[in-house]
Amino acid sequence: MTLKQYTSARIAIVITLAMFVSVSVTARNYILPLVAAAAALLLLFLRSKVADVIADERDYAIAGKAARWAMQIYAWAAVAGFFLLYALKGNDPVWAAVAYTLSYSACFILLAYSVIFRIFFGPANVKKSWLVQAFGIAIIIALAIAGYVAIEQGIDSGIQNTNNEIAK
Amino acid sequence: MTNRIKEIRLKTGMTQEQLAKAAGARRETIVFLEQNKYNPSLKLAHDIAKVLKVSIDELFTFE
Repeated sequence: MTLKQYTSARIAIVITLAMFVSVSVTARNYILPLVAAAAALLLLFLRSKVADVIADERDYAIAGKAARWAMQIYAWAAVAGFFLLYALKGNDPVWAAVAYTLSYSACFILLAYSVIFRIFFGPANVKKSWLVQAFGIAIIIALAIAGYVAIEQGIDSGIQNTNNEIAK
Repeated sequence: MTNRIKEIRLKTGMTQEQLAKAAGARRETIVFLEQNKYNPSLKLAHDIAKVLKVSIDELFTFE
């Protein structure tokens, strides 16, 4: 597979993914995110089949720098957002919940950075790819559990529609 | 650090794309290297020198 073919496939999969996610949000169907996860895995598989160089050391260096900047900007923005929304919580109680979410997410991202930095700081001969694989599997498991719980509790719109049709 | 990548690449008749592919890098990286806007790692410097059939010392100069 050439880089051009992979880029075309990636665009097609991302468009399809966006459609699935938007439909799942509006239709409250919790199975579709699992399809999205499968599409992401397909994308990873296709990436491994590309013969051309997709990213080299310069791309990785820039990506690392961009990620550090993004993390710092997000952390500061989240802190500022927390104080602002918490101060204005009198207008709408929901803003307090949003403020807490922002602050906890900032804490999580900084904690994750510290843990991952420590892991990569270790011996160079230790394979780090398991971290990426473990994270991907954890995401898929979380989505599967969320979908199962939604189905069990009857939140899933597909189940509700089926129940309604049976009741008729 | 400066380099003679472009000079030696043109002598060998290679394009940037060919050099990039042979060295395992992207063409954009070769462009930045030739413009002295990027300092490569030791591995990439070695790979480029190997493709151009010169030594690293001949290719790169520390100022």
